[in-house]
Amino acid sequence: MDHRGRHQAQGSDIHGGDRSRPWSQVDPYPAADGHTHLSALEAELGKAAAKRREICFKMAHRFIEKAERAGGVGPTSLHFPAGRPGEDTDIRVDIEINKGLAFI
Amino acid sequence: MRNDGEPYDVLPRFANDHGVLWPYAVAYDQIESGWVDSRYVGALALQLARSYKPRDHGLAAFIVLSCKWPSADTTSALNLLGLAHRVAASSHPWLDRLVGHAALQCLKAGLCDPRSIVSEGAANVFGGLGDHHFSTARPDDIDTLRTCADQVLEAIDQREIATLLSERIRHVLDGVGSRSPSAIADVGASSMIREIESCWPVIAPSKHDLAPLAALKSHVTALAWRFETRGPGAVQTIYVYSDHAGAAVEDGWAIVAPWSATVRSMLGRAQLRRHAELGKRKAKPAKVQFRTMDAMSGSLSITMRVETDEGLQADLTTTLRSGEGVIDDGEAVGDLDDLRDLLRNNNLHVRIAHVEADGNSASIAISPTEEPAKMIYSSRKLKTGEVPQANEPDRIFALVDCIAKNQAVTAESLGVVERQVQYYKAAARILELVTPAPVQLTRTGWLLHVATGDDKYRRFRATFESTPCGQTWIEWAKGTKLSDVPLGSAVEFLTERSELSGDTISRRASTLDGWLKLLRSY
Repeated sequence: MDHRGRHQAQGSDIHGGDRSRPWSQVDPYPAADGHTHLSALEAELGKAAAKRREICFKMAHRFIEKAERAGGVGPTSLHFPAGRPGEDTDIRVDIEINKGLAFI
Repeated sequence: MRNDGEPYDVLPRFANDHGVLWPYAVAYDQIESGWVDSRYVGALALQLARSYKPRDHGLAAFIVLSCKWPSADTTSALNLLGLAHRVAASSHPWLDRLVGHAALQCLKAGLCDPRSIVSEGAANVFGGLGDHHFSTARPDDIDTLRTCADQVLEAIDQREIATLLSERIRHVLDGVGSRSPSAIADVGASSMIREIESCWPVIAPSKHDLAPLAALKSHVTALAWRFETRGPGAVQTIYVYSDHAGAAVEDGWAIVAPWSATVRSMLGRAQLRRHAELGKRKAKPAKVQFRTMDAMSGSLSITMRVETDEGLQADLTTTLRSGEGVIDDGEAVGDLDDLRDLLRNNNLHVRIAHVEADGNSASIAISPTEEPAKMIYSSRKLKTGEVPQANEPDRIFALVDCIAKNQAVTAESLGVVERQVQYYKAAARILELVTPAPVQLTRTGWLLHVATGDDKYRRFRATFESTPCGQTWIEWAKGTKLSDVPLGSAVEFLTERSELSGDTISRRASTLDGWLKLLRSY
């Protein structure tokens, strides 16, 4: 597969520490699919865990929009943490593009 | 390398096959082309960020963060920002200053980039920077960064996001405050170079190594052959580990025989030469005994006592430094060949650790788990769920007591605020004091509950040593017990050996450093 990566929600409030939605396909990964899978990841979390990550998912969706306007993005690793200054938290959402092009 | 395919495909394979110094080989290759392909900049930055070791990769990070800003390559720009965020403090302040300076210049370029995906990425990175990034930042550097960041934040139409990023950036800059930075030019370059030179690389067997002793001796003389004069005998600790998860414990034990034979033959010949110089007729090889003292469960750490006299120790050091006669000696080369082949065929690395006379016996880890002992911890990173965040062990004792007495674990019973209860519960699970749901005490948890006084802290120490986190930390510090781990080393350790990043590292490090300080005396 020439294009792969994953969306991931991380934090010690998630059983096992994380949930992820990978992609692996022959063609570049469309932005529309990115938004869909990101929303599905959010829905997979418990209500409280999703609420804590609301801002993280907003930032991740925003990144996908920007990436689409830029013509897609190659392999990279982005982190969107939730914590405000002084807050004690490991809660975040990540987007990892491991190979190929994503969010065209 | 430039003709081997896509940089983002080539570099991870190259990094995997070429040991810890791989980024310098890439930089060497790219210098010849003038870094013309910006994808190599991005791929190098991404791969470095994934496996960053401050001590080994600091200079590489300095090199790649100093490259020309990729104004036409969005992916590479994002990856440079990712590396700027990832670089962490090492135990070498001058290296940190170089890296911090380059990281801030990279951040400035990102904030000023006309592509909003890049400038907003830079603003996100800005809020996660640490003190070590600002060690050379002057007040006008900080003002420039603040101004650039404000312009980026003003353009973000989602106010909630802009507000969060702004708060984080302000928090970072408040922490920087009015500290006076040290200009690099204020201190002599020689002290900086001396410090950087102390980053010793790991020895890896190479197909092109025509003189195995020469490859070993620089490392051996620097680290292993510091014999003390307090008494006869010396203690060697050999760490055998692999970059590949499939290494078996037996592979490590297989090192002992050829290593022992190698050292024994070198010491024997050294004594023969010495006796010959002294004119002794009936010289014979020295009696060298290797006696196994200790081995850490689940790792390839083997501690042995080498019993011989001080004179031979000095002879061996001289012999190793000069390399005379040993490479050509058939028997010595045979032993080294065996060792070298064993390492190469099994993708193993050997680090010969410090040598000290009459070292104390290391404590053997008590493992409450049924997880098979396997050498995995140096070939994978600790996950978030394996690193505790619970600064006060007494609260963990209180949690164990509650469960033993069938009482509810609440914020009041632990003496913490509500949001911290989950962290202490997680810590108890990491330490395997309690089972996952339904929550019950394990045997180890019961042992901790019934212990009193100093015994409680001794059991807590042993329990922590046997966790993946504890074992990895001890292994990282090249020790055999928790008291071998340097105080204050948790940030560097977690940066190199965990999947944690940003503020999470400093929070978890606070727990680990606190536990270490408390427990090392038990």
